[in-house]
Amino acid sequence: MATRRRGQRKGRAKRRRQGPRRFRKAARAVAALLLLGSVALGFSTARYLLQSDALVRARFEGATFRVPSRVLAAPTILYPGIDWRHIDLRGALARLGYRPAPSAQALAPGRYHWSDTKVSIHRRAFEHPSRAAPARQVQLELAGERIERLHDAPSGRELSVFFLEPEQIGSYYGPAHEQRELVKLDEVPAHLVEAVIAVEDQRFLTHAGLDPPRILGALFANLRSGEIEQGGSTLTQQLAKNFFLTPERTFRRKVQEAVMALIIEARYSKLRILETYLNEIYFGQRGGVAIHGVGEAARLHFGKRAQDLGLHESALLAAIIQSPNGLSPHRRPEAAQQRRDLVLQLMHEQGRISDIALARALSQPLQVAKVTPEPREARYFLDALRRQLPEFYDQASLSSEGLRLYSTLDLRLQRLASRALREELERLEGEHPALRPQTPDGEALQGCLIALRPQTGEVLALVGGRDYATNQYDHCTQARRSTGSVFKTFVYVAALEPREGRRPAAAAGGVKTLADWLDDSKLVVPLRRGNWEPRNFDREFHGRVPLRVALEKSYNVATARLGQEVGIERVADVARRLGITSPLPVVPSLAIGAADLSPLEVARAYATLANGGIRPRIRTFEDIVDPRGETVERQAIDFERVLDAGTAYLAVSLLEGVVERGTAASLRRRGIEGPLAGKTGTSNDEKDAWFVGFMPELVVAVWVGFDTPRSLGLASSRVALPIWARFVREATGGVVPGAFPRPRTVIERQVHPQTGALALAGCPARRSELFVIGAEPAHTCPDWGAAPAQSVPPPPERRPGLLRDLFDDWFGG
Amino acid sequence: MVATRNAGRVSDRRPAAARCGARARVTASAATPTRLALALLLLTALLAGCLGPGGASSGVGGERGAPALRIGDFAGHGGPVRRAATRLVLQGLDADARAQPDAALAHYQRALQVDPENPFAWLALARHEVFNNLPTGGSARRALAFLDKAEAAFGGLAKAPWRLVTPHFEGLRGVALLASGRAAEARPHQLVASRATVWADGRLDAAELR
Repeated sequence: MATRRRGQRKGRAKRRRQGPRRFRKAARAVAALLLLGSVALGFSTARYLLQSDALVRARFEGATFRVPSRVLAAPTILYPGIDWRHIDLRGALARLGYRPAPSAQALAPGRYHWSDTKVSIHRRAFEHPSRAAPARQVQLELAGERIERLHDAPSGRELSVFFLEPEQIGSYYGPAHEQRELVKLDEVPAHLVEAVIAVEDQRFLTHAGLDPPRILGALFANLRSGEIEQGGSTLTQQLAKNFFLTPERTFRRKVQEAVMALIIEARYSKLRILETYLNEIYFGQRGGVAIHGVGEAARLHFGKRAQDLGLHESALLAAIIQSPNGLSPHRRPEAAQQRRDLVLQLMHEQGRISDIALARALSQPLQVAKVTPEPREARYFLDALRRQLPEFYDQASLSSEGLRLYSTLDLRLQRLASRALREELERLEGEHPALRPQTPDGEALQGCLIALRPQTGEVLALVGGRDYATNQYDHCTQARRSTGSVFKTFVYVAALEPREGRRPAAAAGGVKTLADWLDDSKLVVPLRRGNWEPRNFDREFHGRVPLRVALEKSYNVATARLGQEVGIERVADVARRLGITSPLPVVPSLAIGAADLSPLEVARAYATLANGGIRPRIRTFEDIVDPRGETVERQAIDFERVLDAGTAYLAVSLLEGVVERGTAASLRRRGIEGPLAGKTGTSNDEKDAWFVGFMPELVVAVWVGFDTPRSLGLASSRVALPIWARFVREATGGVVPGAFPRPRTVIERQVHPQTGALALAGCPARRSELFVIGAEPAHTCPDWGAAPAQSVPPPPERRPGLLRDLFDDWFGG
Repeated sequence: MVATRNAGRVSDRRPAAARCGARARVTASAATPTRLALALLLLTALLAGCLGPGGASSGVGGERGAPALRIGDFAGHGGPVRRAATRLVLQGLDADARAQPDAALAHYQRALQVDPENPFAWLALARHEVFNNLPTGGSARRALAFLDKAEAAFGGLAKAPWRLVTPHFEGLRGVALLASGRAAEARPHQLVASRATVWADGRLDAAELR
């Protein structure tokens, strides 16, 4: 027993001795662990800090923002005599964010006043390296729907022309679909900065990225309410969150935000942080596009530049930062105004604005510009423009470099074109069920329309398909479709073009004149693999037909024979010179349209004819300007004479006949007056329907068909022509101005209708016809063998004046 | 050379930031010899014109001392469209006279948007191409095409002022032909131009056309 007790005592003593040892051992282990942990924590913290620092620097010192490039339409031009309703002046003002004012007195930039007889507009200044214009107030005197006179409002000086700033037609967005207009801090009005600081972070200038009193205040408030209703974030924290973090509200994310904010504050000045914040902060949506930064927000909400904002407007912008969509002045004006007034009160309480400024700003109503979503009609055009740019303007650079692309697009014409195509295709489907999709997900009827200004090559309207949302393939610029009879025009041009030595009696003439006749009887062209026998649309032959009638009625056989006579190689050469760039098969059937071409190149070739034989370069933009205001790309007017003016005019005259008497005669019944020329085209089995028509200042090509070609069962005059007619009628108001200018090398002569002989006294019948000087008929009616010299008056002086005098001096003329 | 200026277009494959600043330098350095060469060519041609048959000393009946064309004289002519466009042409000529070629070009282009057949706009554009762009690698072909277009547009007028316009056409065509290496073709045009008041000093200022 005693031994056992002794043993127990020894055991206790031993344990007592071992206790501190174990404790020391454990303590050492813990200490080691702690040390190790601390080192590891230190390492990972340091690593995290370094990574965060690198992230911050990469963002701030690289391209801080990706700014999508904007595309602008051609500006609206006002001058005396123009119809304001026709150019949709009210619509243009609304889309540009101009707001109506109750009176014309003291109009601010971006405001207008409209009365029955006068319109006063205070145009905003707009920037452009070569077309910059200052803010200017003008007065338009109206006479009904016409602008009678234009005056500079302050001076009363009469103006002959006035431009509105160009409208934005779209942007090249990146994946985030954000739009922003960068501003510099020194451009922003001081009250905007004050308003933002007052409501978002009043100790911004003194804290180091975190604001502990504010954090504590927010913590207590949130604990009291039991939910997160206040945030304690500084501007720097908000910036860190927007730049680097997700919007989730977790403790971990908050810590990350704080660390980032501290790094930002340590690295960059307050001014830099503030400027970055003002450009980054989210301000709501414009359709599917996120609006960021005060520059873009000022444009969206007030239709003006940030530098032009008033105090009450600055306060409103600062007010909606908290909840851009919930406090949207467009959707919830009362809530927005309450919050704006709160911001003004805060500014006043913090001594940032005076009593008077407060009272004045509070008295201002909430006036915001109408938000107009970016037009959807110009999507195909934007793609076409991008394809026309040099390759280094890829999607990445266009969506980040903040360029401004001044395009040639006439937004009014674009809207009309888009509507005409869409509604006319719907009408066609309504009237002809076979044209509807055959199955629920079947292929829809497609079409496209392109309008060019022939003199300058500008693309004024381009609708590449029926609906961009469902089909982005541009049928005007990317598709190559069988042209049918649209191509025939080139055969006639080749036949009319002067060809020296071909006709000894008229060396200046071509193979044919407009007074000639063609043979529309059966034609057999032997080929390697059998014969080719062209047939007419009506399956009949028409025998001997006047050349004009052959084209007006679009006779295949007569044209095919003419192609053989002229030479297919020559026809192809003429087509290429006029502007066709697609490969052309040099086969007999080319004469009647066996060529797959794009509507764009066909339009260009016809534009060359409308432009008197001068081929224009197609232009989709005028210049591209970088964010610093430097022009980095320019697409100047460029063209080349590829056909003599006389032949071009004869071709125009032929095509006028198509509209007056031929396959496009229904155009006149559709209510369009004035000079018109054009050609219908229907491909084999009616798979493609074309109409290419023009007037002195506009060329329009329309194509209709299916992507997987199938028969439309209708001629082009019932498919493509109505679309063309509707567009042109709406674009011109139904009256096409001007006339096709006749060159001095073209004269009018009387000819015998049946023989084409020059009609002299005693000729039983006669009609007028046009000839290039020197290509008049050699034979006469009555037949004198050859035209007597005196019957053909000498060509008029080309250019009387010095040249003539000089030649007379030299050659004794 | 990384950047080229051709057909009024600035092409540079560098990043945007580098692209912008470099443009003016590149254009200026490339332009100087060409500008000098063209000036010499122009001078030679004019001298040749003056010394050739029926040179300036003999004069051309009625042209010496005849009033030069002033587009301003036509600013009030035509309908509102033509007047508006002609006013823009005058503004363009002012810009050209102030050595602001980009602004001038912008005005001519706007004039053509308003009135695509405005003969004065085409003439001013041709002048602009010859005097501003040819010396910096512009296209003589384009200048000639502008002249063609101007001539066609004047031809469309009921009463074209040919006697006044001709010296401009001839002088500009002569310079453009010369620049494209067609000296023989250029000579008669230069001859005609050299006899006219506006060309007698071998210059055609924008102000003279204005």
